[in-house]
Amino acid sequence: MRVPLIGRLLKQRHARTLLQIPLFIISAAMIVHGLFGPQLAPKNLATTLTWVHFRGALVLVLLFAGNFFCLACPFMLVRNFVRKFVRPVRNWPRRLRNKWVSIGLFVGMLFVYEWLDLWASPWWTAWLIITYFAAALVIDSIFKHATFCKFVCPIGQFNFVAATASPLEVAVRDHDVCTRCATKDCIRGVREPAAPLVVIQRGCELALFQPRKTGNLDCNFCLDCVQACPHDNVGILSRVPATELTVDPIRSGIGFLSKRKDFAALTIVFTFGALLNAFGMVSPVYALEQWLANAFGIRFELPLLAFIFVLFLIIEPVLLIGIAAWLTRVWGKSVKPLLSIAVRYAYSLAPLGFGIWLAHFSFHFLTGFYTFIPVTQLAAGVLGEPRWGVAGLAPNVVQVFEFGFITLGLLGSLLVSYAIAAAEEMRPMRVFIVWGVLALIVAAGAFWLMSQPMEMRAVALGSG
Amino acid sequence: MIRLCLLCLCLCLFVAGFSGCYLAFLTGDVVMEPEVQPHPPRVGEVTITVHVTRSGKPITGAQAKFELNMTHAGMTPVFVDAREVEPGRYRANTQLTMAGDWSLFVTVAMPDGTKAYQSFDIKGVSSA
Repeated sequence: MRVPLIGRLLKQRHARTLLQIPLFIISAAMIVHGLFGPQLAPKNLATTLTWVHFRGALVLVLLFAGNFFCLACPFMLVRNFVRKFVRPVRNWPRRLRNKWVSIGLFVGMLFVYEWLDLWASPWWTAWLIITYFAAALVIDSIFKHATFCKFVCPIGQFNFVAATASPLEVAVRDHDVCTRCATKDCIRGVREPAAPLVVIQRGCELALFQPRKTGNLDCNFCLDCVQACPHDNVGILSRVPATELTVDPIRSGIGFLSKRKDFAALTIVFTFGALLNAFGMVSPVYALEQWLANAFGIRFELPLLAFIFVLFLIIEPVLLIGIAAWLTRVWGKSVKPLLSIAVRYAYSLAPLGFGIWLAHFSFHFLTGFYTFIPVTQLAAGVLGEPRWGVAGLAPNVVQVFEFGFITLGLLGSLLVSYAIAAAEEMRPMRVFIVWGVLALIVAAGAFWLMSQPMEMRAVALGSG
Repeated sequence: MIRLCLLCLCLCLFVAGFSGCYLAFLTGDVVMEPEVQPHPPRVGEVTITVHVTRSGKPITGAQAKFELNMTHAGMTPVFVDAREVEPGRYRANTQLTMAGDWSLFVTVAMPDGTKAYQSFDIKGVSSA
């Protein structure tokens, strides 16, 4: 926040709105072009900006900075506007105050992406964006606080897990100042002095009390706490990426991470989902689908895709993590129950999962970086003849970055698993070896996937 | 709240009703029949031939252009001019650079100055 210009901008009360407006305008253009423009993905703003630029920029900003895309989220602009007229009165049901719904939606999102070939469909992509806007609007018009962000939004959950490896976080500068603070505006909000029920600046809507907040989990960088703090004691601070995964204090709004099975499941889906999503864009997936189709005599893609999802997101992680947890108990002499071990060490996979997403999304982003120019020219219709010749970096150059990101993620996962083992186990080296080997297996899978020839096509199941 | 939901629903139905109306091609009574060699297509050099007829008769002396796109966003199109190899048969050699689904967009400028367009799918281009 002390960076010239940027710091001043972010401290402004309407900083978030200012960042959201451009993204809202771009989203509106994507919807219009997706619905009414050419239905060829490389020529449409909805598909090009969503699947090439948004995803790539998102992970790179998460890598080099933090969860700034949630800060600039256009869905929240509409929601905040509607909340001026519609006051939600209900609380999100207690039994749903966890990540299970959002995990289901995240998996559903990955499934729909493959099933409907979203990458090739401007129309469906536009409807996906509309659905996001509608869901944010409806849920946050009924339920209080940031219910959509915290408990529903699949993109938000992706960002929360990925941001554990980010170098920036919203945090308290001096904890002594918080100890002396009598108002706790960062969570309660700034109240009108004459009318204490009137909030003039929101506190954290995600129930993260700054003095007890640890890391980026559940933080959407909305900066409400920064603007609410009367002591200017909350800011965007630098830190060592992924260290928040190595410690297990009681976290505001979350509790102990080691006891949150839903967060662990989210991390597992995030990591193995990265493999699955990359698998969907290379040649072997079609061979597997064809083989499954022949083996089971099935001619519809839906059940085959469901089988592959179960294989990648349930059977594979349960087997790998189950064996690792069992070895941790038997060979590593851990005294914790199997499930507790699995939950605790599942978080060590987050950096690697992020590395795989980075490798995948940066491939499309870097190889197709300039494609927004001719597509924008085509959509606008007044910017001259589209320059279709421009693309981006050559795929073989980008592959170096891909391998680099996976290696970086692997190193992060190894360090996290070592730190957890060193802090919590009697035989830390043995436990580290077990979880290190697991990370190596997942990374090997990712390296193999990234070296496969890319193949993007809809499934046509023949008999051959 | 109910009014808001109804408004959203009406908006969605309106948009759904009017979307998807984009016309990708215009051929009139012109018929185009594409052929890609090798078949099934593979990554690498391919030969594309389009047979252009009107009322069963080949259209000669036209200018044909082929545009090839992958179905995934972020890919650049390939443009190639075709030459007439036989009456009404327009052919060009080009490279398919990646496995997957491709789209072929044909533009034919007739000798009388009119134009015809049509797009075709080239599905399942396999790795070389």
